[in-house]
Amino acid sequence: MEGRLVFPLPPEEPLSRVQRWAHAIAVLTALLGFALGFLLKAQIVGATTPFRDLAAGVLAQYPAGWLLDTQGDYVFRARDPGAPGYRTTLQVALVPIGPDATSRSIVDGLTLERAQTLAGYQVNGTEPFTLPDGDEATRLEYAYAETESNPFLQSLPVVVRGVDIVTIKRGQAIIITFRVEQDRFEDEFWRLEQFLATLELL
Amino acid sequence: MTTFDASLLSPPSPREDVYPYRRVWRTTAYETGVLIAGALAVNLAGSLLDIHLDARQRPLVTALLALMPLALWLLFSYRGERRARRPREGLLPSIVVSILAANAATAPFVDEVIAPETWLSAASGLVRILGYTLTVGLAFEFSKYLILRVMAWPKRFERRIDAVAYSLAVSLAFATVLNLRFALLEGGGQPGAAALRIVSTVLVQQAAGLVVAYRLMVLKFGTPRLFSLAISLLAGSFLIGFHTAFRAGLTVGSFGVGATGNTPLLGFGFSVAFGVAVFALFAFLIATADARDVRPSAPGRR
Repeated sequence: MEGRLVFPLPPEEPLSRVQRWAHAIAVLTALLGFALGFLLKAQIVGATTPFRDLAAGVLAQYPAGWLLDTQGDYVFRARDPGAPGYRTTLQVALVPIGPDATSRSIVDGLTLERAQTLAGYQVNGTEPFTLPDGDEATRLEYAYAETESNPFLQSLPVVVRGVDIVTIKRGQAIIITFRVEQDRFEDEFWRLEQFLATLELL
Repeated sequence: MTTFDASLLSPPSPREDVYPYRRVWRTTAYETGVLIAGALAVNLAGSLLDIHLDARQRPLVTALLALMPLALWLLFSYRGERRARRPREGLLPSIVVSILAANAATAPFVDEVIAPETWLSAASGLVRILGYTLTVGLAFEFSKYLILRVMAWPKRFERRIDAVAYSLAVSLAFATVLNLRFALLEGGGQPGAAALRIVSTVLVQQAAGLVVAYRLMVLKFGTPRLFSLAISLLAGSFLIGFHTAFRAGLTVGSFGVGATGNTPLLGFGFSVAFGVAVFALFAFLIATADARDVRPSAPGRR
Protein backbone atom coordinates (compact mmCIF):
# COMPACT_ATOMS: atom_id res chain seq x y z
CA MET A 1 0.00 0.00 0.00
CA GLU A 2 1.24 3.44 -0.86
CA GLY A 3 2.39 5.52 2.06
CA ARG A 4 2.78 2.55 4.38
CA LEU A 5 5.74 2.74 6.67
CA VAL A 6 7.77 -0.40 6.66
CA PHE A 7 10.15 -0.87 9.52
CA PRO A 8 12.09 -3.99 10.22
CA LEU A 9 11.31 -5.57 13.55
CA PRO A 10 13.77 -4.45 16.19
CA PRO A 11 16.50 -6.91 16.94
CA GLU A 12 15.37 -9.34 19.57
CA GLU A 13 16.88 -8.54 22.91
CA PRO A 14 17.76 -11.39 25.18
CA LEU A 15 15.29 -11.90 28.00
CA SER A 16 16.27 -10.72 31.40
CA ARG A 17 16.55 -13.15 34.25
CA VAL A 18 13.30 -11.89 35.81
CA GLN A 19 11.45 -12.27 32.51
CA ARG A 20 12.67 -15.83 32.06
CA TRP A 21 11.72 -16.77 35.59
CA ALA A 22 8.34 -15.05 35.31
CA HIS A 23 7.49 -17.30 32.35
CA ALA A 24 8.74 -20.40 34.10
CA ILE A 25 6.71 -19.59 37.21
CA ALA A 26 3.63 -18.97 35.06
CA VAL A 27 3.96 -22.40 33.47
CA LEU A 28 4.53 -24.07 36.83
CA THR A 29 1.55 -22.24 38.30
CA ALA A 30 -0.65 -23.43 35.46
CA LEU A 31 0.44 -27.04 36.00
CA LEU A 32 -0.12 -26.72 39.74
CA GLY A 33 -3.53 -25.17 39.08
CA PHE A 34 -4.51 -28.05 36.82
CA ALA A 35 -3.40 -30.52 39.47
CA LEU A 36 -5.57 -28.77 42.06
CA GLY A 37 -8.46 -28.66 39.61
CA PHE A 38 -8.29 -32.39 38.97
CA LEU A 39 -7.92 -33.04 42.67
CA LEU A 40 -11.11 -31.07 43.22
CA LYS A 41 -12.80 -33.06 40.47
CA ALA A 42 -11.71 -36.34 42.03
CA GLN A 43 -13.03 -35.21 45.41
CA ILE A 44 -16.41 -34.15 44.03
CA VAL A 45 -16.88 -37.17 41.77
CA GLY A 46 -15.67 -39.63 44.40
CA ALA A 47 -17.56 -38.12 47.35
CA THR A 48 -19.69 -40.66 49.18
CA THR A 49 -22.46 -40.83 51.75
CA PRO A 50 -22.50 -43.56 54.38
CA PHE A 51 -25.30 -46.11 54.50
CA ARG A 52 -25.84 -48.20 57.60
CA ASP A 53 -28.45 -50.92 58.18
CA LEU A 54 -27.39 -52.93 61.17
CA ALA A 55 -30.52 -55.11 61.05
CA ALA A 56 -29.58 -56.31 57.60
CA GLY A 57 -25.88 -56.21 58.42
CA VAL A 58 -24.88 -53.87 55.62
CA LEU A 59 -22.53 -50.91 55.89
CA ALA A 60 -21.54 -49.10 52.71
CA GLN A 61 -20.63 -45.80 51.13
CA TYR A 62 -22.71 -44.80 48.11
CA PRO A 63 -22.02 -41.82 45.82
CA ALA A 64 -22.96 -38.47 47.31
CA GLY A 65 -25.99 -36.89 45.70
CA TRP A 66 -27.54 -40.17 44.60
CA LEU A 67 -31.13 -40.86 45.59
CA LEU A 68 -31.48 -43.52 48.26
CA ASP A 69 -34.43 -45.91 48.29
CA THR A 70 -35.00 -48.54 50.96
CA GLN A 71 -38.67 -49.28 50.29
CA GLY A 72 -38.36 -52.07 47.71
CA ASP A 73 -37.48 -55.76 47.96
CA TYR A 74 -33.87 -54.83 48.63
CA VAL A 75 -31.82 -53.48 51.51
CA PHE A 76 -31.09 -50.32 49.63
CA ARG A 77 -30.89 -48.91 46.17
CA ALA A 78 -29.04 -45.73 45.21
CA ARG A 79 -29.62 -44.10 41.82
CA ASP A 80 -27.86 -41.23 40.08
CA PRO A 81 -30.46 -38.52 39.46
CA GLY A 82 -28.17 -36.62 37.12
CA ALA A 83 -27.48 -39.46 34.72
CA PRO A 84 -28.86 -38.87 31.25
CA GLY A 85 -31.17 -41.66 30.11
CA TYR A 86 -31.02 -44.64 32.42
CA ARG A 87 -30.14 -43.73 35.99
CA THR A 88 -27.03 -45.53 37.10
CA THR A 89 -27.95 -47.85 39.96
CA LEU A 90 -26.23 -49.52 42.88
CA GLN A 91 -28.30 -51.98 44.86
CA VAL A 92 -27.89 -54.53 47.62
CA ALA A 93 -30.52 -57.22 48.14
CA LEU A 94 -30.78 -60.13 50.58
CA VAL A 95 -32.46 -63.36 49.46
CA PRO A 96 -33.22 -66.27 51.80
CA ILE A 97 -31.84 -69.55 50.46
CA GLY A 98 -31.89 -73.22 51.24
CA PRO A 99 -28.95 -75.00 52.88
CA ASP A 100 -27.75 -76.56 49.61
CA ALA A 101 -27.75 -73.39 47.57
CA THR A 102 -24.54 -72.15 46.03
CA SER A 103 -23.81 -68.76 44.55
CA ARG A 104 -23.74 -70.40 41.15
CA SER A 105 -27.24 -71.84 41.57
CA ILE A 106 -28.50 -68.42 42.67
CA VAL A 107 -27.01 -66.86 39.56
CA ASP A 108 -28.80 -69.46 37.44
CA GLY A 109 -32.05 -68.64 39.22
CA LEU A 110 -31.55 -64.92 38.57
CA THR A 111 -30.91 -65.62 34.91
CA LEU A 112 -34.08 -67.68 34.51
CA GLU A 113 -36.15 -65.06 36.32
CA ARG A 114 -34.78 -62.09 34.39
CA ALA A 115 -35.12 -63.79 31.05
CA GLN A 116 -38.87 -63.63 31.64
CA THR A 117 -39.09 -60.14 33.15
CA LEU A 118 -36.45 -58.07 31.32
CA ALA A 119 -36.68 -57.36 27.59
CA GLY A 120 -33.79 -58.73 25.56
CA TYR A 121 -32.00 -60.08 28.62
CA GLN A 122 -28.66 -61.54 27.65
CA VAL A 123 -25.95 -62.99 29.87
CA ASN A 124 -22.49 -61.82 28.84
CA GLY A 125 -20.48 -63.90 31.26
CA THR A 126 -20.27 -65.61 34.62
CA GLU A 127 -17.07 -66.04 36.58
CA PRO A 128 -15.79 -66.56 40.12
CA PHE A 129 -15.09 -63.36 42.00
CA THR A 130 -13.37 -62.49 45.25
CA LEU A 131 -14.78 -59.66 47.34
CA PRO A 132 -12.35 -57.15 48.86
CA ASP A 133 -12.78 -58.81 52.28
CA GLY A 134 -11.74 -62.14 50.79
CA ASP A 135 -15.17 -63.77 50.54
CA GLU A 136 -15.80 -65.92 47.48
CA ALA A 137 -18.59 -64.80 45.14
CA THR A 138 -19.87 -65.19 41.60
CA ARG A 139 -19.86 -62.34 39.13
CA LEU A 140 -22.64 -62.20 36.55
CA GLU A 141 -22.52 -59.72 33.71
CA TYR A 142 -25.57 -59.12 31.54
CA ALA A 143 -27.44 -56.66 29.38
CA TYR A 144 -31.08 -55.93 28.65
CA ALA A 145 -33.31 -53.29 27.07
CA GLU A 146 -34.91 -50.88 29.49
CA THR A 147 -38.24 -49.64 28.24
CA GLU A 148 -40.55 -46.96 29.57
CA SER A 149 -43.24 -48.58 31.69
CA ASN A 150 -45.84 -46.01 30.63
CA PRO A 151 -46.77 -46.92 27.03
CA PHE A 152 -48.14 -43.41 26.39
CA LEU A 153 -44.73 -41.82 26.94
CA GLN A 154 -42.75 -41.79 23.73
CA SER A 155 -39.22 -43.06 24.24
CA LEU A 156 -36.73 -45.46 22.76
CA PRO A 157 -35.49 -48.49 24.68
CA VAL A 158 -32.13 -48.04 26.39
CA VAL A 159 -29.54 -50.81 26.49
CA VAL A 160 -28.49 -51.32 30.10
CA ARG A 161 -25.43 -53.27 31.18
CA GLY A 162 -25.41 -54.81 34.60
CA VAL A 163 -23.07 -56.62 36.92
CA ASP A 164 -24.28 -58.76 39.82
CA ILE A 165 -21.96 -59.97 42.55
CA VAL A 166 -23.57 -62.86 44.38
CA THR A 167 -22.22 -64.24 47.63
CA ILE A 168 -23.60 -66.28 50.52
CA LYS A 169 -23.34 -65.18 54.11
CA ARG A 170 -25.20 -66.22 57.25
CA GLY A 171 -27.52 -68.51 55.29
CA GLN A 172 -28.72 -65.89 52.85
CA ALA A 173 -27.65 -64.73 49.45
CA ILE A 174 -26.36 -61.20 49.11
CA ILE A 175 -26.81 -59.77 45.62
CA ILE A 176 -24.88 -56.61 44.84
CA THR A 177 -26.14 -55.08 41.61
CA PHE A 178 -24.64 -52.38 39.43
CA ARG A 179 -26.53 -51.18 36.34
CA VAL A 180 -25.61 -48.43 33.93
CA GLU A 181 -26.46 -47.35 30.40
CA GLN A 182 -24.31 -49.32 27.99
CA ASP A 183 -22.47 -46.26 26.57
CA ARG A 184 -21.26 -45.22 30.00
CA PHE A 185 -20.34 -48.65 31.35
CA GLU A 186 -16.59 -48.26 31.03
CA ASP A 187 -16.60 -44.72 32.43
CA GLU A 188 -18.77 -45.57 35.43
CA PHE A 189 -17.49 -49.00 36.36
CA TRP A 190 -15.19 -47.53 38.99
CA ARG A 191 -18.28 -46.73 41.03
CA LEU A 192 -18.90 -50.44 41.57
CA GLU A 193 -15.27 -50.94 42.53
CA GLN A 194 -15.45 -47.99 44.96
CA PHE A 195 -18.70 -49.33 46.38
CA LEU A 196 -17.32 -52.84 46.87
CA ALA A 197 -14.24 -51.43 48.56
CA THR A 198 -16.41 -49.70 51.18
CA LEU A 199 -19.02 -52.44 51.58
CA GLU A 200 -19.08 -54.32 54.86
CA LEU A 201 -21.35 -57.33 55.26
CA LEU A 202 -21.68 -57.99 58.97
CA MET B 1 -2.91 52.51 5.25
CA THR B 2 -2.39 49.54 7.39
CA THR B 3 -4.33 46.40 6.70
CA PHE B 4 -5.35 43.76 9.17
CA ASP B 5 -3.81 40.35 8.59
CA ALA B 6 -5.31 37.78 10.89
CA SER B 7 -2.66 35.21 10.11
CA LEU B 8 -0.07 37.36 11.81
CA LEU B 9 -2.02 37.32 15.07
CA SER B 10 -2.97 33.62 15.09
CA PRO B 11 -0.57 31.32 16.82
CA PRO B 12 1.09 28.88 14.53
CA SER B 13 -1.07 25.78 14.18
CA PRO B 14 0.42 22.89 16.14
CA ARG B 15 1.79 20.06 14.14
CA GLU B 16 -0.57 17.18 14.30
CA ASP B 17 0.93 14.01 15.68
CA VAL B 18 1.21 11.34 13.09
CA TYR B 19 -0.22 8.16 14.53
CA PRO B 20 0.53 5.44 12.00
CA TYR B 21 -1.11 2.56 13.85
CA ARG B 22 -4.65 1.26 14.00
CA ARG B 23 -6.49 2.63 17.00
CA VAL B 24 -7.32 -0.63 18.74
CA TRP B 25 -9.91 0.51 21.27
CA ARG B 26 -11.86 2.39 18.62
CA THR B 27 -12.22 -0.59 16.28
CA THR B 28 -12.94 -2.86 19.24
CA ALA B 29 -15.69 -0.51 20.36
CA TYR B 30 -17.23 -0.64 16.87
CA GLU B 31 -17.08 -4.44 16.79
CA THR B 32 -18.44 -4.87 20.29
CA GLY B 33 -21.21 -2.37 19.71
CA VAL B 34 -22.31 -3.99 16.48
CA LEU B 35 -22.12 -7.44 18.09
CA ILE B 36 -24.25 -6.47 21.06
CA ALA B 37 -26.79 -4.61 18.95
CA GLY B 38 -26.90 -7.47 16.44
CA ALA B 39 -27.44 -10.09 19.13
CA LEU B 40 -30.27 -8.09 20.66
CA ALA B 41 -31.81 -7.53 17.22
CA VAL B 42 -31.66 -11.25 16.38
CA ASN B 43 -33.13 -12.09 19.76
CA LEU B 44 -35.93 -9.57 19.35
CA ALA B 45 -36.67 -10.71 15.81
CA GLY B 46 -36.76 -14.32 16.97
CA SER B 47 -39.31 -13.46 19.62
CA LEU B 48 -41.47 -11.17 17.51
CA LEU B 49 -41.51 -13.38 14.45
CA ASP B 50 -41.74 -16.55 16.53
CA ILE B 51 -38.85 -18.17 14.64
CA HIS B 52 -38.40 -21.85 15.42
CA LEU B 53 -35.79 -23.73 13.43
CA ASP B 54 -35.79 -27.51 13.18
CA ALA B 55 -32.86 -29.74 14.14
CA ARG B 56 -31.37 -29.62 10.62
CA GLN B 57 -31.47 -25.83 10.33
CA ARG B 58 -30.20 -24.95 13.81
CA PRO B 59 -26.53 -25.99 13.35
CA LEU B 60 -26.24 -24.13 10.05
CA VAL B 61 -27.81 -20.90 11.28
CA THR B 62 -25.88 -21.04 14.56
CA ALA B 63 -22.63 -21.60 12.67
CA LEU B 64 -23.32 -18.56 10.52
CA LEU B 65 -23.97 -16.50 13.63
CA ALA B 66 -20.80 -17.91 15.21
CA LEU B 67 -18.73 -16.60 12.30
CA MET B 68 -20.11 -13.08 12.61
CA PRO B 69 -17.64 -11.87 15.30
CA LEU B 70 -14.72 -12.98 13.16
CA ALA B 71 -16.26 -11.32 10.11
CA LEU B 72 -16.65 -8.08 12.06
CA TRP B 73 -13.05 -8.30 13.24
CA LEU B 74 -11.92 -8.69 9.63
CA LEU B 75 -14.10 -5.77 8.60
CA PHE B 76 -13.09 -3.33 11.31
CA SER B 77 -9.82 -4.39 12.90
CA TYR B 78 -8.03 -6.24 10.13
CA ARG B 79 -9.11 -3.81 7.42
CA GLY B 80 -8.11 -0.97 9.72
CA GLU B 81 -4.77 -2.63 10.21
CA ARG B 82 -4.23 -2.95 6.48
CA ARG B 83 -5.11 0.70 6.01
CA ALA B 84 -2.80 1.91 8.76
CA ARG B 85 0.53 3.33 7.73
CA ARG B 86 2.26 0.94 10.03
CA PRO B 87 0.21 -2.25 10.35
CA ARG B 88 0.81 -4.82 13.05
CA GLU B 89 2.28 -7.92 11.57
CA GLY B 90 1.29 -11.44 12.42
CA LEU B 91 -2.27 -10.82 13.55
CA LEU B 92 -3.84 -13.15 11.00
CA PRO B 93 -1.33 -15.97 11.63
CA SER B 94 -2.03 -15.59 15.35
CA ILE B 95 -5.72 -16.10 14.67
CA VAL B 96 -5.11 -19.14 12.48
CA VAL B 97 -2.79 -20.75 15.02
CA SER B 98 -5.27 -19.99 17.80
CA ILE B 99 -8.14 -21.59 15.89
CA LEU B 100 -6.08 -24.71 15.22
CA ALA B 101 -4.87 -24.97 18.82
CA ALA B 102 -8.30 -24.33 20.31
CA ASN B 103 -10.04 -26.86 18.11
CA ALA B 104 -7.34 -29.52 18.24
CA ALA B 105 -6.26 -29.30 21.85
CA THR B 106 -7.97 -26.93 24.27
CA ALA B 107 -11.65 -27.50 23.46
CA PRO B 108 -11.35 -31.34 23.29
CA PHE B 109 -9.36 -31.25 26.54
CA VAL B 110 -12.12 -29.25 28.20
CA ASP B 111 -14.97 -31.33 26.78
CA GLU B 112 -13.55 -34.81 27.18
CA VAL B 113 -10.98 -34.69 29.97
CA ILE B 114 -12.35 -32.00 32.26
CA ALA B 115 -16.02 -32.59 31.31
CA PRO B 116 -17.19 -29.91 33.76
CA GLU B 117 -20.90 -30.54 33.34
CA THR B 118 -20.53 -34.05 34.77
CA TRP B 119 -19.26 -32.90 38.15
CA LEU B 120 -19.67 -29.12 38.51
CA SER B 121 -23.28 -28.64 37.51
CA ALA B 122 -24.63 -29.76 40.89
CA ALA B 123 -21.87 -28.24 43.03
CA SER B 124 -22.33 -25.21 45.26
CA GLY B 125 -21.61 -21.70 43.98
CA LEU B 126 -18.14 -21.25 45.41
CA VAL B 127 -17.05 -24.74 44.39
CA ARG B 128 -18.35 -24.09 40.89
CA ILE B 129 -16.34 -20.89 40.62
CA LEU B 130 -13.22 -22.58 41.97
CA GLY B 131 -13.72 -25.64 39.78
CA TYR B 132 -14.28 -23.68 36.58
CA THR B 133 -11.32 -21.43 37.43
CA LEU B 134 -8.84 -24.26 37.97
CA THR B 135 -9.95 -26.33 35.00
CA VAL B 136 -11.83 -24.62 32.17
CA GLY B 137 -10.55 -21.11 32.82
CA LEU B 138 -6.98 -22.20 33.26
CA ALA B 139 -7.09 -24.35 30.13
CA PHE B 140 -8.19 -21.40 27.99
CA GLU B 141 -5.97 -18.78 29.57
CA PHE B 142 -2.90 -20.98 29.56
CA SER B 143 -3.46 -21.84 25.89
CA LYS B 144 -3.87 -18.18 24.99
CA TYR B 145 -0.78 -17.27 26.99
CA LEU B 146 1.29 -19.89 25.15
CA ILE B 147 0.09 -18.62 21.77
CA LEU B 148 0.82 -15.00 22.65
CA ARG B 149 4.21 -16.03 23.98
CA VAL B 150 5.11 -17.87 20.79
CA MET B 151 3.46 -15.65 18.19
CA ALA B 152 3.80 -12.12 19.52
CA TRP B 153 5.78 -11.67 22.72
CA PRO B 154 8.19 -9.92 22.95
CA LYS B 155 9.14 -8.91 19.45
CA ARG B 156 5.71 -7.76 18.26
CA PHE B 157 4.93 -5.85 21.44
CA GLU B 158 6.30 -2.48 20.35
CA ARG B 159 3.76 -0.36 22.20
CA ARG B 160 1.54 -1.14 25.15
CA ILE B 161 -1.58 -1.23 23.05
CA ASP B 162 -0.09 -4.02 20.93
CA ALA B 163 -0.77 -6.38 23.83
CA VAL B 164 -4.46 -5.56 23.51
CA ALA B 165 -4.48 -5.97 19.73
CA TYR B 166 -2.90 -9.42 19.76
CA SER B 167 -4.80 -10.60 22.82
CA LEU B 168 -8.19 -9.62 21.40
CA ALA B 169 -7.40 -11.44 18.16
CA VAL B 170 -6.27 -14.63 19.89
CA SER B 171 -9.25 -14.59 22.27
CA LEU B 172 -11.65 -14.00 19.39
CA ALA B 173 -10.26 -17.09 17.67
CA PHE B 174 -10.86 -19.17 20.79
CA ALA B 175 -14.40 -17.82 21.13
CA THR B 176 -15.10 -18.59 17.47
CA VAL B 177 -14.01 -22.19 17.91
CA LEU B 178 -16.17 -22.56 21.02
CA ASN B 179 -19.16 -21.10 19.20
CA LEU B 180 -18.65 -23.26 16.13
CA ARG B 181 -18.39 -26.37 18.30
CA PHE B 182 -21.61 -25.34 20.00
CA ALA B 183 -23.23 -25.04 16.57
CA LEU B 184 -21.86 -28.13 14.88
CA LEU B 185 -21.26 -30.60 17.72
CA GLU B 186 -24.04 -29.65 20.14
CA GLY B 187 -26.67 -28.87 17.52
CA GLY B 188 -26.76 -25.10 18.08
CA GLY B 189 -29.88 -23.36 19.26
CA GLN B 190 -32.71 -21.13 18.22
CA PRO B 191 -31.28 -17.94 16.66
CA GLY B 192 -32.26 -15.57 19.45
CA ALA B 193 -30.71 -17.56 22.28
CA ALA B 194 -27.76 -18.64 20.14
CA ALA B 195 -26.89 -15.04 19.23
CA LEU B 196 -26.83 -14.05 22.90
CA ARG B 197 -24.67 -17.01 23.82
CA ILE B 198 -22.23 -16.38 20.97
CA VAL B 199 -21.66 -12.73 21.87
CA SER B 200 -21.35 -13.60 25.57
CA THR B 201 -18.64 -16.14 24.76
CA VAL B 202 -16.73 -13.59 22.69
CA LEU B 203 -16.92 -10.93 25.40
CA VAL B 204 -15.80 -13.15 28.26
CA GLN B 205 -12.94 -14.71 26.27
CA GLN B 206 -11.67 -11.32 25.18
CA ALA B 207 -12.04 -9.81 28.65
CA ALA B 208 -10.19 -12.66 30.37
CA GLY B 209 -7.46 -12.66 27.72
CA LEU B 210 -6.68 -9.03 28.44
CA VAL B 211 -5.50 -9.85 31.95
CA VAL B 212 -2.60 -12.02 30.83
CA ALA B 213 -1.83 -9.76 27.87
CA TYR B 214 -1.60 -6.75 30.17
CA ARG B 215 0.94 -8.55 32.35
CA LEU B 216 2.91 -9.63 29.32
CA MET B 217 3.00 -5.99 28.32
CA VAL B 218 4.21 -4.97 31.79
CA LEU B 219 6.82 -7.71 31.60
CA LYS B 220 8.23 -6.02 28.55
CA PHE B 221 7.68 -2.30 29.16
CA GLY B 222 7.24 -1.98 32.91
CA THR B 223 8.98 -3.23 35.98
CA PRO B 224 8.79 -7.00 35.72
CA ARG B 225 7.98 -8.97 38.83
CA LEU B 226 8.52 -12.65 39.26
CA PHE B 227 4.99 -13.72 40.17
CA SER B 228 2.90 -11.14 38.36
CA LEU B 229 2.47 -13.22 35.20
CA ALA B 230 1.46 -16.32 37.14
CA ILE B 231 -1.02 -14.30 39.20
CA SER B 232 -2.49 -12.76 36.07
CA LEU B 233 -2.91 -16.25 34.60
CA LEU B 234 -4.95 -17.24 37.62
CA ALA B 235 -6.84 -13.93 37.57
CA GLY B 236 -7.83 -14.41 33.92
CA SER B 237 -8.89 -17.96 34.70
CA PHE B 238 -10.93 -16.67 37.63
CA LEU B 239 -12.77 -14.26 35.35
CA ILE B 240 -13.84 -17.16 33.15
CA GLY B 241 -14.72 -19.31 36.16
CA PHE B 242 -16.70 -16.56 37.82
CA HIS B 243 -18.51 -15.63 34.64
CA THR B 244 -19.37 -19.22 33.77
CA ALA B 245 -20.70 -20.07 37.20
CA PHE B 246 -22.52 -16.80 37.76
CA ARG B 247 -24.03 -16.46 34.31
CA ALA B 248 -25.48 -19.96 34.45
CA GLY B 249 -27.30 -19.00 37.63
CA LEU B 250 -28.71 -15.89 35.96
CA THR B 251 -29.68 -17.58 32.71
CA VAL B 252 -31.42 -20.63 34.14
CA GLY B 253 -34.66 -19.34 35.55
CA SER B 254 -35.83 -20.27 39.00
CA PHE B 255 -39.08 -22.03 39.69
CA GLY B 256 -41.86 -19.68 40.51
CA VAL B 257 -45.59 -19.57 41.03
CA GLY B 258 -46.25 -17.20 38.16
CA ALA B 259 -43.91 -18.44 35.46
CA THR B 260 -40.85 -20.61 35.15
CA GLY B 261 -38.41 -20.29 32.29
CA ASN B 262 -34.92 -19.32 31.21
CA THR B 263 -33.88 -15.69 31.31
CA PRO B 264 -31.16 -15.45 28.64
CA LEU B 265 -31.36 -11.65 28.47
CA LEU B 266 -30.40 -11.38 32.12
CA GLY B 267 -27.34 -13.56 31.55
CA PHE B 268 -26.52 -11.59 28.42
CA GLY B 269 -26.77 -8.31 30.30
CA PHE B 270 -24.35 -9.66 32.87
CA SER B 271 -21.89 -10.74 30.16
CA VAL B 272 -22.05 -7.33 28.47
CA ALA B 273 -21.53 -5.48 31.75
CA PHE B 274 -18.71 -7.86 32.64
CA GLY B 275 -16.94 -7.47 29.28
CA VAL B 276 -17.33 -3.71 29.06
CA ALA B 277 -16.13 -3.24 32.64
CA VAL B 278 -12.96 -5.26 32.00
CA PHE B 279 -12.32 -3.47 28.71
CA ALA B 280 -12.73 -0.10 30.43
CA LEU B 281 -10.44 -1.11 33.27
CA PHE B 282 -7.59 -2.12 30.97
CA ALA B 283 -8.10 0.88 28.70
CA PHE B 284 -7.70 3.03 31.79
CA LEU B 285 -4.64 1.14 33.03
CA ILE B 286 -2.89 1.35 29.68
CA ALA B 287 -3.79 5.00 29.20
CA THR B 288 -2.48 5.77 32.67
CA ALA B 289 0.75 3.93 32.02
CA ASP B 290 1.15 5.75 28.70
CA ALA B 291 0.51 9.09 30.35
CA ARG B 292 3.21 8.39 32.91
CA ASP B 293 5.63 7.29 30.30
CA VAL B 294 8.32 9.81 29.59
CA ARG B 295 10.35 7.70 27.25
CA PRO B 296 10.03 9.03 23.71
CA SER B 297 10.79 5.61 22.30
CA ALA B 298 7.63 4.08 23.61
CA PRO B 299 4.78 6.26 22.50
CA GLY B 300 1.65 4.46 23.58
CA ARG B 301 -1.38 6.01 21.98
CA ARG B 302 -4.84 4.62 21.84
